Amino acid sequence: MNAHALPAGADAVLRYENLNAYYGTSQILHGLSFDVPAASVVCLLGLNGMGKTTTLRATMGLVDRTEGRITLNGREVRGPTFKRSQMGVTLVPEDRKVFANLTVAENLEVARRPTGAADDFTFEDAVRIFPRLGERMNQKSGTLSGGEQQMLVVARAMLANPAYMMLDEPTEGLAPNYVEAIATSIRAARDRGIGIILVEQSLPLALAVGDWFHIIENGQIIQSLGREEALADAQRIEKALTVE
Amino acid sequence: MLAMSLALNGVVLGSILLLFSLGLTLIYGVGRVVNFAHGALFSLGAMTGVWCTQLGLPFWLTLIVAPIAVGLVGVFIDWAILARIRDRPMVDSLLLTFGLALLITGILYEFGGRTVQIMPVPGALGGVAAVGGLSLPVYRIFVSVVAIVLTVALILFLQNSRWGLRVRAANDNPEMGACLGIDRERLMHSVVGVSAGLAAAAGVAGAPIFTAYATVGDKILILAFMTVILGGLGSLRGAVVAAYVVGMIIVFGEGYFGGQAALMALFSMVMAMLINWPRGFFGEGRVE
Repeated sequence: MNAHALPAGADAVLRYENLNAYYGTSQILHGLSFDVPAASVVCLLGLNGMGKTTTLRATMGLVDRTEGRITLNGREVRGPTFKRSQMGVTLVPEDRKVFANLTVAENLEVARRPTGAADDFTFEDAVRIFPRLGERMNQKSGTLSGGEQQMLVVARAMLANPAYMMLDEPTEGLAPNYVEAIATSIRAARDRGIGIILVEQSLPLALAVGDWFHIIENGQIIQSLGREEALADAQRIEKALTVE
Repeated sequence: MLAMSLALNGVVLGSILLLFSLGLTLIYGVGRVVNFAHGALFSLGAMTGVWCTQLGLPFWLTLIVAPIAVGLVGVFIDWAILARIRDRPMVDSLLLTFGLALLITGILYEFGGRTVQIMPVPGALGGVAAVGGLSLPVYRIFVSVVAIVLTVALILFLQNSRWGLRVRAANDNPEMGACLGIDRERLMHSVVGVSAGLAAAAGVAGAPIFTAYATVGDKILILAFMTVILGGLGSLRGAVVAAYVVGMIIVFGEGYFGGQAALMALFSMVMAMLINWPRGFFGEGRVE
């Protein structure tokens, strides 16, 4: 478990309580409440425009206005984005957002935040999970392929050694071998105690790594399922995620 | 012979522009602020140089004290003013920094900036040096060397320090930088401070050539905006090349065809770049 110490009596959990979020006057989230325990993968599923990405951006303080509470291990997640990141939450955004003019090594270095714990993620871990990055350390990241850029942003987030990591559609448009590498990295992060929120259109990946599943519609959770329930109900969930 | 002399002057103007434009580029890159007050900071640097020498400070000390003093003014400006409009639409920062430029200029008018002040060249840097059959003013060679040394030092620091890595990351994508824990506010304070210090260094070093008065930075500001556009918004290496291109166009244009023709040539080039290659010389500038 990496070192984001818990206050006495607090649960190791990222908790959303009655979260509302707004862009301008448009309300996107309507009273969202759920928990992300440490060392678990919580999948947010739903059609486009239902509020999944907004949930992640609200966590990082990147929406215009929010109401309700987000707490991390009992402490309220608030203030500017960098402070939320320093509290132990990090985001892998949906459109990759590598630092294009920095090399792969520099992208990793700028994010690296050792906590001093024995199981901190290191450069070596990143290269072991994503060997392709090891071959491209001195290459400008803007010149990487889409799949390599996606690996880089996931590795970069892991090197920040967060308590919680949020991934927004990390496999969108990727070839199967890249998807498998992303799945491996999610499992590796979970095994080190990191709590993960995964927003994903691809149900097979979500089912492969997820522990909890929340289906979001119009900014509200309409159904929550455990892993066994989701596996048993996969066909119906897939249908719910398909535009008629 | 004329061409060689013009080339030296082109290098001198390019070097001054380089110091000035690097700051403009950094402030835009990290803060998305088009800083119209940068010219006033150049003037403030030049005037501070004059005040320091009037107080009896040696030239060498002035060259250090004035940039540090103006750099601290830059930190204060960012903390007290620019931070209040962070992430607001660009037009807000345009208007605010334009007002700030007028404010600084007004203050300089009240403290001796209405008249052209002469800053003497120190004895050791006076006279001319014979290079390859040409007589070149020593001070102009000195200014070019100082500008190039400062630029190389800044670039090495940007490439090799943690601060530089963070600046370059935030320059690429400020929002993502914040998601990874980069404190953009503190970073911007330091970036505006360093940029103001560079503008002041250009102002002090340029004062014996361009003289010092309240609006001496205005012409430099216009040329620097052309430099930043040619190099590509936010592109540091673009700014380095563009500064010397602009310096050469202005000096050779003035030398052979007159000042107006030089400006017309420069503005035509900038318009062509904006239309056809808006990302600048290296194609890495930002298009908003």
